[in-house]
Amino acid sequence: MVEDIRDHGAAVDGSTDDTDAINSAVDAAAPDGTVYLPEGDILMGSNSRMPVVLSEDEGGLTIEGAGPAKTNLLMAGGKTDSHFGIYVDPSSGSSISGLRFRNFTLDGQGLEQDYSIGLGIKVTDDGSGPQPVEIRDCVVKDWAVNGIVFEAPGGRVYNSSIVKNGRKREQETGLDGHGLNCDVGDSGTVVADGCLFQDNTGAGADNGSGTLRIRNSVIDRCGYAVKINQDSVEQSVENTLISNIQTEPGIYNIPANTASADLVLNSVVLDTVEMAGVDLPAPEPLAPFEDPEPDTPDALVHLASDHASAVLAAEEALRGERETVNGVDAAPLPDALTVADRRTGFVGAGLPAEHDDPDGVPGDAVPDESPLFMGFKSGFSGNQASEDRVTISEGPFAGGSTQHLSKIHLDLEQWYEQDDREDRVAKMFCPAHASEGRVEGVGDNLGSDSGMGECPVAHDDAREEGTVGHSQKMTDVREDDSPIILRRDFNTTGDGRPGVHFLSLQRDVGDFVATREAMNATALAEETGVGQRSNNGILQYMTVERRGNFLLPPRSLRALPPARP
Amino acid sequence: MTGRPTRRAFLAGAAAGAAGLAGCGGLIQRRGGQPPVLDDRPDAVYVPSHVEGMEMIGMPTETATYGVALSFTYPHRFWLVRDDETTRVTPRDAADVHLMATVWDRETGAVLPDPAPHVEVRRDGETVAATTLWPMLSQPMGAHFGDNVALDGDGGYDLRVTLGPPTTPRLSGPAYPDRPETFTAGFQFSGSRLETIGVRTLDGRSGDRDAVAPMSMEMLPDLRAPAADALPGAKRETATSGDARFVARVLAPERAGTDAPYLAVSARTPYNRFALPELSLTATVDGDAVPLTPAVDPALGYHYGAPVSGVESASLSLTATAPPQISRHEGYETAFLSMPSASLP
Repeated sequence: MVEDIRDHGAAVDGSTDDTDAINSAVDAAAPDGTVYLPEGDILMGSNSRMPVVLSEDEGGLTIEGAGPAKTNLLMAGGKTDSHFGIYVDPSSGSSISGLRFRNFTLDGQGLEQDYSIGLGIKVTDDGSGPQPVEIRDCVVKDWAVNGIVFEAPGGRVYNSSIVKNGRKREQETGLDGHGLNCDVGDSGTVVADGCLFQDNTGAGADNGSGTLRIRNSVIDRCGYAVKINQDSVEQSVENTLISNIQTEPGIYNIPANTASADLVLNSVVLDTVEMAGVDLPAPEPLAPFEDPEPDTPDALVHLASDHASAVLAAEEALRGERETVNGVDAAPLPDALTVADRRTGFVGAGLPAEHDDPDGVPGDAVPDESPLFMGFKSGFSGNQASEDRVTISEGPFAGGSTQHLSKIHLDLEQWYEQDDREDRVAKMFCPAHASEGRVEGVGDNLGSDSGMGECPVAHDDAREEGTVGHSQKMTDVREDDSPIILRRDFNTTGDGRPGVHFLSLQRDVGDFVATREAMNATALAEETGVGQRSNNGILQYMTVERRGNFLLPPRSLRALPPARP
Repeated sequence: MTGRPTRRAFLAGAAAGAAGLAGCGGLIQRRGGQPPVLDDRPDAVYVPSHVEGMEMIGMPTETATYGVALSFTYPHRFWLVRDDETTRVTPRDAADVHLMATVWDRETGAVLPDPAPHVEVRRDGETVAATTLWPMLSQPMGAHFGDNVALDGDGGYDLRVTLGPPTTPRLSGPAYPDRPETFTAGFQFSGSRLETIGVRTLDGRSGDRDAVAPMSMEMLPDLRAPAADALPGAKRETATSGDARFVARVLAPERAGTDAPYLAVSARTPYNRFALPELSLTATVDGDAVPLTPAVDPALGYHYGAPVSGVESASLSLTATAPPQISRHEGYETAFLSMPSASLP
């Protein structure tokens, strides 16, 4: 028995509300008949936030359209409360047998709503077991939160597209919404086969509890592909392409580090994962002439203190060698982590001069008061980015930062034994600082910045002097007269040779790359007497041996234990 | 290259600048240190107090892009150049050798003075020394790279060399690869071997405005700048500044791959005809300043150039706003520093 809604008074014109006609057709067709939704725009819900409610009385019903590209079932806009397209709500203890939705588009018009909670199809749980609801050849699109929600087991979605859901909620609240949301309990199962999950702001499919199986599908341009919660039992993804993921890992497991579902991935292609707001490229050479080894450990722990004993105590705690530090219970590194490398060093007035024993550090050459091996103060407060400038401002990693770490060998013999002091001042700062004698000692007389306002622009000195200073080149990458990286570099004699561990924070690794490109001054080397490395700042004296990029958690989570000022 | 190469490079008196070494001065004991720098040096190229031989470290290496000849000699003094000032570098006591690399572009055959090679000296897996060699100019060798290096006594070392790409492009043809190239060469060092390298004083000629002849090395291409007669293009006059020679030519746009006639200036040393790199060179063409940038070309060698409309018949002068910033060996450290503008009538 097929009931065409037009025979029940539907206008199918997209502006007249057809809710009553749909319900009249449902009543006539139930329990085992078919409601036919003809080609055209069918508006519903103008006066109801739940225009189609089905229960066990409608068991066996099919609602069928003329095709997903032809039949558009539209939720009226302007909803000011939570709203549902098709609400399947069996009474307690009842099962609905065989509800089928086929061949139509269910459009929530989410961006036309005035409320951030709207669901396309929701199947509630009465606790009595499976409610076999099958969705086939449908499009479920643009619902304020989620496209399809199964709270009862037995949901099946075939050959359907679940797209553009969650946009309203993201717009209103900054939170996301999912294509398919399943929360069907320990013994329940939901299957999606042959589906496209696309442009949903949250997960393509969110597995809140129970078992969710996704096969032969595409999950594209979603915030994340599959979200697995702690009550999930099993999550399988088979023969599926996951691509262009936007905000979280393709398979997103929350809460983190909680044992949850068995995860089965079989023939899954995880393509482009685009986590919005954070670009964390693999380390690569940042000068044409350098050939660094990439550093790719899973984690980097940076311990710093004014007191070496504090750093060493913290290290012992991390390695599980002591139970408390400074009166706080120690939290050793998880067993899953082993120490791949340990790099040590020092920074601060007097320390470099004390470390002049190793080969390669000329005796008595480093000024006693210098904080760094190169003999000059470099962390002028005016030469540092602010914490805000290096903090990720939005997206899932808001509050975090990126960190670049390089290991650099310093040729202090050339620097101290071959260049003279005037050469060093010219190459560290600018030629005019050298010729005018503007730098005293390690540069404390310069005040809070390195006085680059007194230097000609780098290009002019390159042409006229054949030499450009390091600081002079860096003025080009300043933003609002401030650098864009926050440096935390320190010297080392860790492997028996002088060097620097150059650790810096920046909002985006690209900020570091831009800073390094300014330092390379390749164009000046190409066009003027400035060499690729000689007379080109301090490039002659430093050789980058390793590079690595890391993601830093938000500042509030960065100190161990949390800093309490 | 054909023929059986000799691993020892001799100071050949037969090459250009026929005032050979034989008979001028004599072999000296190196152990006694270098003769002092002459008291009275002209502000020009001059014959130094002495000249050292050198020894190749294996055969020249060909990487994908570059030819590289590694060699060594006694540690010795040289001068860094910053603008028009020099800083004399005296080898420190620990230095065992002066390590050198001569680099040329396999595609154009031109000497490459700017892809500073980084050399890591390793022994038994440990790094003994690591340094970026200075770009350097010497009378026997022309543009090369070098520095004094401390080793760890006699024995076998591995030299891991990383170089390139140069900042000086080819005028035409394929661009250089954008990553460095690396190779490793074995180096058997002994102090007694070093002592067999000849050193000659040049008593009779020291201080003369002349140069010792270029070293002839059979396994290396001729890395001198092309003879003026061999340069392509329409001749302009040759000018002199600070004892450097500027040989100017104008090439047709189609030859240079430019959209206007290409002004090419080969800056070279007198006597030995070595290219002078790392100049900031500006041409003034009918009163307009045109910065020239370096490039290499099979026929022009290392030179400075720019496309300039109407340059064929324009008035032309050249100004080195910064003289060659390349480090100097003795005999070149007082030349090419003060370089007044030179008109090419």
